[in-house]
Amino acid sequence: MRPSLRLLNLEVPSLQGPRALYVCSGCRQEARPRPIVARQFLRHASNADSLSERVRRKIWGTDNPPGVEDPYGGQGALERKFKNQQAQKQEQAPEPAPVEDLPLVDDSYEPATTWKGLERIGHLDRWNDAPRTEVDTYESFSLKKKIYKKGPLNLAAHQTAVEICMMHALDKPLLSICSVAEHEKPVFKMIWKCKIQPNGTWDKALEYPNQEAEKSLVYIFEQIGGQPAAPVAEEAAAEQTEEDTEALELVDFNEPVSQTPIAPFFGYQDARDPGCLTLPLTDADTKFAFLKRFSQLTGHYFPDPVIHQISTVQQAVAYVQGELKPKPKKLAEHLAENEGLQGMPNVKIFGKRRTTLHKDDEMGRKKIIEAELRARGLL
Amino acid sequence: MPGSDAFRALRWLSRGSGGLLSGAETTTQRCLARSFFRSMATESQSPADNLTREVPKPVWNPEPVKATTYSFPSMEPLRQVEYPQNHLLMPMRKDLLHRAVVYEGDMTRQGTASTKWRDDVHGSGRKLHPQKGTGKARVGDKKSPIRRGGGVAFGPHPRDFSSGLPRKIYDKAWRIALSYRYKRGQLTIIDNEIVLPENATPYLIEEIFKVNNWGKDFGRSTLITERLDENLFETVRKVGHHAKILDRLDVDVKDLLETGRLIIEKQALDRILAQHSHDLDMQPRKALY
Repeated sequence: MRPSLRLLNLEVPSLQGPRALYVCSGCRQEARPRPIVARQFLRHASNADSLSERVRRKIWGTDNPPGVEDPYGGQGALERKFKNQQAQKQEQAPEPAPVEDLPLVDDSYEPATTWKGLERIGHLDRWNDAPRTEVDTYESFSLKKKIYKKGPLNLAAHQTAVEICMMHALDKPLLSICSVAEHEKPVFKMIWKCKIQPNGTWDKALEYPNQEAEKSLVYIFEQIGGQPAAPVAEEAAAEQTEEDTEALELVDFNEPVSQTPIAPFFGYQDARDPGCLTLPLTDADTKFAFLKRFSQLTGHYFPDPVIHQISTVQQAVAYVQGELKPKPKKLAEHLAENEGLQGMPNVKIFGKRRTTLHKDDEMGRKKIIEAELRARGLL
Repeated sequence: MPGSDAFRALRWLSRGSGGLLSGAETTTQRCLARSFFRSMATESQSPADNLTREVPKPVWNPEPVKATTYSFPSMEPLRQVEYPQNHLLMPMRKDLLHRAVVYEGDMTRQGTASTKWRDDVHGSGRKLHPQKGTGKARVGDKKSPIRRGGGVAFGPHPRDFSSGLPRKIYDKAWRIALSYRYKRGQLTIIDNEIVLPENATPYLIEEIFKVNNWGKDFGRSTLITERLDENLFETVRKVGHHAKILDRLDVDVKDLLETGRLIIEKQALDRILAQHSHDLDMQPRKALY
């Protein structure tokens, strides 16, 4: 190929010159000064130094010039950040569990036709789609689950009466007893063994089982009113009295049936002494304290007009028990319970209106009618 | 003759009762004799019974009504408060309640229903065709109420439906409604404010209503607060099937009667009672000279 004359003219003065001066076109191309733009792409080439790097080297006159390696380019700030995050993630993330090779088509797979049994994904942004929070725990004053059995109700009445009697005897604020939600078992047992004299007054009605019990009960109840360290003291006292009551337990003839800790009143089924029922509730403060404590122990609520009517412990217990057996909604049920009507020979009470069918049945006509209808093919 | 009958009776009485009239008590005799003379004319029953019986004295200070106050979320009975009998122990008057509820219903009617009469309809008043000569019935313009697109004859127009009720009756109705709740044991007075802990969700309200038997199965409940707490109201309204919540200014007699029970702040109750006892505070008018 004939070399370009123009290029030759630049470097090789004449064709007739010495052959050593000859430069091949490739080298000549290399040596030519190129515009900077055209060389930009070489900047990031792994095997080549960038232009700016070379310029810096030239300026500083060393192979390792100080300063940023590439102040005008390189990776952008976002790019660098992204790369860092990726690296961190890879470090943090545990190795993904090896994915089992699932068969592409499962033989047992059946496409669902209804939503039943399918996993529920997502929600409609209703409040009950979100889970409960810690704040949503409700601490009720009284028992959350009401007591509906007669025995435990009597137990509660007895316990309340003994407690109020104690508070009366010790001359302490009656309502402070409500700060003790539940007694320790030995304390409860002592309360259970206490008796209440019928027709007594509140401050003198209590009859202790023995001297020791009296001492420990008085000690415990003195801790209750108004002292911040009351529960701790009570526990200590409970521990102290535990030994005393151990001995008593052997003599006890009416052992509790179940010993589950969840059971109310430690598994005791009924009060031993019904004397508390005779106590009067005429004093307003005593009545309020009694009903407050009783509703705390049983979970039952006393409406104001009922509170006004109640004048003895018996009535309070009777009200709660009456609540258990609400008045029947049907008149027939109500009348059927009426003993006066039951005794009458000419009165019968039925749940439904009596029709001729019922009469036929009573008279024995129904069989004949049915037989006749069958015979005619109407039935 | 009635006069002779009375005399016969008098004679019989003096004999039969063993000397009732012949006793030493001359005053009794005089009274009886006078009454018998009067009976000649009117034939009324003799007031002899009243003389021997003690006349019941009127009670000027009836015993106040006692109500228990509770702390809100825990429902712990705190104390007993007293209200006068003419606040919370009013006798039932269904007729007054009915009048109050109707009055409130009338008051709350929007009354904005509106239609256009032929003059109000947009359009021309041009006669559609000449009066005579077409063989058709005579017509006016397009906006006639018998034509499609025409005006509405006798349609509704915005108006005020509110009716009146004497204030004494309305105030009495408020107290009767509250008394009705009280007498049935459905008035729960909250001593403090009805508040929930921060970030509480409707789950908490549900739980409270379940434990206290206030929910849907027991006829729902109305909570009445003194001031409007947006967060509380929003939370409670999410469980609207169990609860209804109102602030005092929003409460009507109808709301008091609507659900199974009222759970009301004491402050709100006191203000309601104070604002609706005009008929009690009224003094008879005196002439001033």
